[in-house]
Amino acid sequence: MRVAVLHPQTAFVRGGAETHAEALIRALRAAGHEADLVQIAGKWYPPSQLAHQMAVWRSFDITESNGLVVDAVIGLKFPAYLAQHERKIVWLIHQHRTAYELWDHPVYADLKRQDDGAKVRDMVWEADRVALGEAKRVFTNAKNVRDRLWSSLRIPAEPLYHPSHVAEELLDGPSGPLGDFLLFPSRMEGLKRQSLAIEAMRHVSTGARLVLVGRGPDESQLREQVERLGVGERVAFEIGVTDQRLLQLYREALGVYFGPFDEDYGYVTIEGFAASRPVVTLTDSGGPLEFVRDDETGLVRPPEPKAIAEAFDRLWNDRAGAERMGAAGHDLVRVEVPRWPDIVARLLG
Amino acid sequence: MDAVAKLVRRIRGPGAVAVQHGRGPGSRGDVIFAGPLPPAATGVATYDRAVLDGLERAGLPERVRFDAVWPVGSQEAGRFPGYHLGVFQLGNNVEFHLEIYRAAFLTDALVVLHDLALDDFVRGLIAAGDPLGYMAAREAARLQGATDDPDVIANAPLREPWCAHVVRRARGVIVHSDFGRRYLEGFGCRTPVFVVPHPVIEAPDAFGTTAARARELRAGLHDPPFLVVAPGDMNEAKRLEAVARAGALLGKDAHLAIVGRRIEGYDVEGAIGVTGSGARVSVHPDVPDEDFLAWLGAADVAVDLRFPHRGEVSGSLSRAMQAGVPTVVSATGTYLDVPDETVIRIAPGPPDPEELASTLGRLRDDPDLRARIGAAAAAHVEHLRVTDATTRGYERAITETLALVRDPARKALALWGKSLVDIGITEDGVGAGYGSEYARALRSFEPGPEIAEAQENFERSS
Repeated sequence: MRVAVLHPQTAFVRGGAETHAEALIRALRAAGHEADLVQIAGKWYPPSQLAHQMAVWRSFDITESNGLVVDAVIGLKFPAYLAQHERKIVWLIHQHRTAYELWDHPVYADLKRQDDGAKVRDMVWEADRVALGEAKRVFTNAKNVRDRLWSSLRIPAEPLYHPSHVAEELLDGPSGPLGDFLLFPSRMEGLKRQSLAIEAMRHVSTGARLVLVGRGPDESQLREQVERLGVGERVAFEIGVTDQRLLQLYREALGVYFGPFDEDYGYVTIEGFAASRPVVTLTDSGGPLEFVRDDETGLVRPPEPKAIAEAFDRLWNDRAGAERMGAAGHDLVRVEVPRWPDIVARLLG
Repeated sequence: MDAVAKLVRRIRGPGAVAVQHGRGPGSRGDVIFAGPLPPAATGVATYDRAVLDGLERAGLPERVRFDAVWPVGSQEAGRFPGYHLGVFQLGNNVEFHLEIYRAAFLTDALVVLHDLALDDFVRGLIAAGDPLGYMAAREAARLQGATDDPDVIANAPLREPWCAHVVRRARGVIVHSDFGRRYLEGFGCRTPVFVVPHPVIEAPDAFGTTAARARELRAGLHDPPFLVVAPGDMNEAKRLEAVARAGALLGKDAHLAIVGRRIEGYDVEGAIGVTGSGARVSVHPDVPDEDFLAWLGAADVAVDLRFPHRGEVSGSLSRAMQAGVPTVVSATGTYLDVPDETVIRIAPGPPDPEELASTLGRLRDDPDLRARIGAAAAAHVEHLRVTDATTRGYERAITETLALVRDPARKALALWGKSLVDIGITEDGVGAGYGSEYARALRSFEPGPEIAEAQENFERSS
């Protein structure tokens, strides 16, 4: 089967969505399909640009390529899934969030603050209603995303988890003894809330350290915060690490911290468990809460620095408990997260 | 696809449309209002003051970021692109409107046409060597003969739509009468047209406070039994020579007072001097505002004729009506849109002094008729005041045009249309389907009624 994976490109930005698309293509090819990534680059501001991108994808003809019929398309992200195809499968990473649950958010609202934001919001809703409604099947990458879709547009969907390639390597490889730091790999931007974790380090009373991995627009601001709070000796930055280095960090960590705001899914949780590490997350973190059960597979705390610090100290002081939770997380991921051959079969089944 | 075809036509047409790529950090506000303000010696200044006061009263500046600018000089040009919409007051002279007209090409515009013709204005632009003048003249010439309205054909300044260029470029047009709408649409105008009545300029008690002065003025003429006043700018189109002749035909009981602004180049004394009406005609140029109102208050009848007509709405007629003075007007253009019972009309075209004298004689001899028409006129103006019709009309025009220029789908389509033109797609090409899928996709995003309901439920649940 010839399958096009549709993905909107944001040039010079790389995150979970890109990893997801590439992994899907690898899996489709491994399953014997002819698969390719089809991208159109764009930006999402000002709102008229978003409308432009929507129209570009919606009017894009992907029925054939170079005289060859495209048998199916898989759309992952807005607005790529607006493209029309008689066999369109949507595996939704997330909707355009600032038009939905972040519309009114005091910090993360963006579209609402634009002059023509309300009009574009309506267009996004209508476009999603039509484009998701016409899809042959709609999957989501997490229950959280499924719930958002249902509560907004009343469109049913099936959650379909997947492992990152890092998670697969960790699942299949050895796990080392617990170390002395909490690992927080994520793109450095507002929704991931690295600043909350840095603030928490002021209140940590044990020797636990925090290692921030990633890159992003907030990096310099976060470094300034570390400097300002005088926690430089307890917070380390690792920018642009290789996969090998990331695997090593997971295998040497005391635990994994992942406290974003209302994450869709979040590889970090899965990767932490794959490495048999307990995961600390927050009550408003969204997707991670589908896996982290308090005191079973990790610790769930309110989004407050002292509470986070207490969780870090707890892992430091109770290594046996940390090991127990990490192992339980590992088992959970093995059961809950299907491997790629199963995922491909479900998507195209 | 109609939308793309229209866009390609707009972009490829004479005087290419500037495609706005969105406002940058220099953005200052939503709306900028450019028009003469008092003490500028033009009727548009008092008009603008009344409009701005009305919008202020209605709270528009609290709902949209709103600035007014006057005078408009070339140094102000940089300001205009920073606004989403400009409201541009356009009259038929370069003295007050040159820079305003130019500014109307610098941002999305809602133009207000005080004269439909703009013939003198465009000639002034050409005399100033402004390329916009040649563009306007070219477009007007191209459209000459496009309308078959006999009223337009009879009035030479209206035969060529001198305003067509700026109107096509604008996002909305305000005119003051249905005649204005018919005129523009008769030439194929597709720009949205808003008919907004002329504001009521004077305060409700304006004629009460000038009543004593009115008595003085009348006494100064030895209390003629029948006083006819011809108010407003003294120019050829008022046909004052015919009015004076008609006055002479009424006999010695009647007096004609010509009151208003003297317009350079028109010799009013010369015009009426040839009529033989002598002492029964007086000319009162450039009187203070209170005297102008007092003259109207003193009048038994007013005369406000036009030939040729330029599509303007007469501020003098509005004041005369407010004073409760029955007014004789030409049955042409905007005068046809005034309610029948509030004026008395004579045949269009060059006025026949005998017909006018006969009409005036009928009014002289029938005080009840005068009282009936005057009362209906005053009631009509009072209705416009009480309902704040001008303010409501402006609010609607600004709100709807602002929504149009802010419409992200329109912006996206404009960019797309510009790209099609850049790669050589013509209207025929669009007809053959080039680029039409995009426009169809944009249209498909128009939200249906279920979206509002879904959003409401979503907000409630979250």
